[in-house]
Amino acid sequence: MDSFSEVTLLLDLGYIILAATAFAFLGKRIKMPSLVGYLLAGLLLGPVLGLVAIGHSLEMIAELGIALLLFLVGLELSFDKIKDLGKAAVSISSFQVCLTAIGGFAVAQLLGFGLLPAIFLAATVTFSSTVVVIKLLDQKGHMHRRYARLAVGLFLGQDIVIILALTILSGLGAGSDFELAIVLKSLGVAFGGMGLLLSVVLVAARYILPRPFAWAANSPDTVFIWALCWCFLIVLLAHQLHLSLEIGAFLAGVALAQLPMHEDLHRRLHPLMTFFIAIFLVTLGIRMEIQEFSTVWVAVLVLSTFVLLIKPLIVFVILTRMRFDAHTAFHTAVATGQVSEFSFILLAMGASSGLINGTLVTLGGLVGLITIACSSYLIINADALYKTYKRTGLFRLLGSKRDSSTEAEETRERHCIVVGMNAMGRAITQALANRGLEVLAVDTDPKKLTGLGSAETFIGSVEYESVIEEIGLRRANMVISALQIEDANHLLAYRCKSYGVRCAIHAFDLSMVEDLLDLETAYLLMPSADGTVAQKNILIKEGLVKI
Amino acid sequence: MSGYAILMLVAAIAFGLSKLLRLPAIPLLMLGGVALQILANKLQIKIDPALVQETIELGLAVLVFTAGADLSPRRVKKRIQPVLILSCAQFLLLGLAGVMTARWLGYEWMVAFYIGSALSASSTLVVVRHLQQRRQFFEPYGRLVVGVLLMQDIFIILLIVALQAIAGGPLECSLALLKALALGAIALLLHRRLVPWVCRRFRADEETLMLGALATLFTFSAVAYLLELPFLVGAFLAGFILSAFPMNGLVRGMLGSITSFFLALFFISIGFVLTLPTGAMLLHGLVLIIVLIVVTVLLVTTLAERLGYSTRAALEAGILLSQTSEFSLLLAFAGMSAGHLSAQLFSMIALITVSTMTLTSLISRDSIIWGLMKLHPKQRHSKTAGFQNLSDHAVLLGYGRAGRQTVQFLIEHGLEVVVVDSDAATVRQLREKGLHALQGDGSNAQVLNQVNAHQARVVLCSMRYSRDALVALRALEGATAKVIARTFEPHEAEKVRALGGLPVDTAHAATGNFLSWLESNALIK
Repeated sequence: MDSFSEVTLLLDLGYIILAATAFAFLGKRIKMPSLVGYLLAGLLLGPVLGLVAIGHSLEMIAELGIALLLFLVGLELSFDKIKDLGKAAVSISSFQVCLTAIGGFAVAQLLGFGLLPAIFLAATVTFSSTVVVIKLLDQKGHMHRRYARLAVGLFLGQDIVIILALTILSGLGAGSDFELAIVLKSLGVAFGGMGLLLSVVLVAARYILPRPFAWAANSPDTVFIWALCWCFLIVLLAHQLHLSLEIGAFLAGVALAQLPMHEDLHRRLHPLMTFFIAIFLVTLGIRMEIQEFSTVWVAVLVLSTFVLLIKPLIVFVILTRMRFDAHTAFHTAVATGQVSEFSFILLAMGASSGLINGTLVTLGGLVGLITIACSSYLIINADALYKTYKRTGLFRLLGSKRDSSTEAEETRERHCIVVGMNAMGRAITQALANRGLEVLAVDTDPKKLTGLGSAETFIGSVEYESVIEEIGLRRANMVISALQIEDANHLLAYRCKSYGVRCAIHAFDLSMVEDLLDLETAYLLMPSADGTVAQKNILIKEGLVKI
Repeated sequence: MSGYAILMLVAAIAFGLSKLLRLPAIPLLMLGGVALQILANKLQIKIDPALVQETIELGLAVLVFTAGADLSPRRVKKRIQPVLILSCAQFLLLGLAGVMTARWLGYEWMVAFYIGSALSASSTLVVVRHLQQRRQFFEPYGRLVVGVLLMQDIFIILLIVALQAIAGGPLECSLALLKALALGAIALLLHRRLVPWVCRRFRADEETLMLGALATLFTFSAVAYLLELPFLVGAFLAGFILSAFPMNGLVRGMLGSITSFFLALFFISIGFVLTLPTGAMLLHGLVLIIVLIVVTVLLVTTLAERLGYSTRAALEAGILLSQTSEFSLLLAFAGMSAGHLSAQLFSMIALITVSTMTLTSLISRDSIIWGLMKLHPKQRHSKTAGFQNLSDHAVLLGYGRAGRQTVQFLIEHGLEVVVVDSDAATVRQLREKGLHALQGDGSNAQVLNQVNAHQARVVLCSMRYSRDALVALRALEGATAKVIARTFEPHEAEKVRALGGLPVDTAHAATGNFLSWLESNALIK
């Protein structure tokens, strides 16, 4: 705290953000997923220019990103959704891990690696990157899709296997000999910890969290900070129980997903996650070691091909055998075509314990870079790939069930959106709904959205672009804002003007009128002026003034 | 991660208490940081000093960036003159009072200058939140206060630039100010030209918008750094660039959560690094708090009234501005970094900030405002003559925004009208126009007697709060006068009806008119 010039973290963040922005903007020109842009930015800052070195603080920020990403995934899962796919996910992850590990081991042996290096490489190709996939699915707006939930379940199942692998590896690294008792004890602690964490989360979701969060519901800042605090505390507890940060954050999210404001919370947390995860992805690029590419390129290409083609194929076959439809199986399979950042940790631990040499770390890193970059394109373009796949008639060959997906996107059209459920907003909502119109009422406070008759409701703030998309503003017939927030009203009017949607806005102060008319607001709601007219009418009706 | 978890736990407690006690979160966050420091020392809990330092660094950048992003000239549109007069006068006179008090307390000139400057800035975060909670953000006095706050932020940023360069002599100091102004001019150009063009030309998704905003922050901070200016100047100007409509609205949603997160950690970290001031400094802090509150309230009230604002609005503006700012902390922090202030002095300024921010929410309550209005010289010297001889007349309780129209309508229809308003300036203006007007609380039975409301044909209640109308209705029970009261919420209308009054349901009226418009335009059947 001594000097303004000692701002190392800010300097590092500055480099990271500027490089990430430059690559993201340039990437848009060639339809490159932003994730690939972040990795390339990292490669430029780290291995190429050597401008940024990963210190403790950047590592911490990257971890925050991962925690928030998984927390948000959990926030979308009600207990019903988990029941729906939980069991299937466990079975799929068990099969997938076993089959991919065997395949990976065989490929590594064919490439001439010894027993231990082959085991490590098998583990490397087996696991997929939860962070990368969720980031991409989130970018596509597909996190609520069935295949996305299945993929998340599969990856969390992989996480459990990783925890077991790391536990065993710690046992191996702890002494010169493999101490079975220590490993068994560690495994017991891990499983016991998982049970304890699950119990804490279930009890909290049912009995502890609902009341305080309901009390704080009309204070979004408080809810936001409480949710973050809850997430970090559960992550800390998971850490104490030797569980991964991802599992802790995910379960923390699941507990809050049972609360009525979970969707709004999700939207508020989303930008924070986007910020931290961008930093994480750039740091992933910075860590890459590409110096020894010339010596390992054959193995890199073979293993990358295995991860990009064979691994998804294994998952696809497992899913079709489990009677999942072709659409779900295909999209889930495509999502698994990359290696996990955990693989780097696994290889680094293996190298530091002397079980493998450093070349394997470089090899794993390069496979990671190639597969993450390629699979980003595949995931982003999965729908187009799926159409091609359907045309080839491979359904019958691979024994997959015909596409029976009922996941048609629910889209509202020609509806009326009423924002702000104060007395006027409620009155307008009820009046329009009573006339048979399709009305969507929007407010940040769940309590204000009750008792609105046939109107649909939506918890959220219209200041968020994601809310604008979710409420279908661009397809609406009309947007009405009863809000008493000038900036929000201006922005809403601006968005309506951009989309060519008619809007009526609450002009609660005369100073707003000019700006709102400039924004082509169709109607100005002015209860104060209308009240004056109503008052005059009462005076006349009651005979208090003579006409 | 444990460090973040502990800081977030403190933040969660502070926010919970803030909601429970209806106090601003900032002082509670800082006190939370102090409590954490004490607990960590007692229980030997290790909080990584690097984490605290980094959250302060990031928090500072975010704080000034956010302040810059709120600096939209639209906010003070058509009020430039009163805003300039009030902000300059308050900053200079309060600063002078602070400097002189600090000198009287025995501080050197440089330290006294820092103290005076710190006293003269008010908290944007506290005041804006207060105005939003009371839905007064867009009332004329709310806009005036917001304009003053924005100007103060600019003054403080310029002061930081000057003070950082002061060691190099007046020439270097002037050069630094010139560089800052030049950078400001570039920012203004980008604000006016580039940002609106980008908004028209590109449709960016949330991620790109966020990255673009943060890249602006880091680019301008880097440019400031290269120009040997504090990087915070760059961060502030970057925020200003993005304050252009509609960019400010588009990025607000993206940056809101990032800001909340880092600011919560920032204020806890500031509390955590405070060192205990000496007893004498605590006493000095108390003296400075008294000077700050008394001078601000008197100065702002007097000036705002002279600028044409009502007594109540002027008083509310004065009270709302009577606290030090997060920018005072920034200035003190810069002073400490430059070696001009000791750690204890920084702590003293931080404690003044905590105390005055907390006091603001306590002294800005209605009961206090009413009490102060009674002490107002115009109130004490106002004519107390009543209108007991009037009957079959109309009484308007609360002039408000629609008063002019209502009075005109009543007079046009042959009724004699008496206006009761709590505001001395409003009453004076009405009397100057030859109307009957009485200064007082429209819900007070004595005041109602003074205007002979019981014998009136009609009593119209349009006071700020519906509860005042209900009190007036109870006081007029059994009277011949019909009582008409404006309401917004349906339950308020029911209460008015239950007490024998006639409610004017404004929300209902607006809805009815809106539906008629829809029908006339064939938008609904």
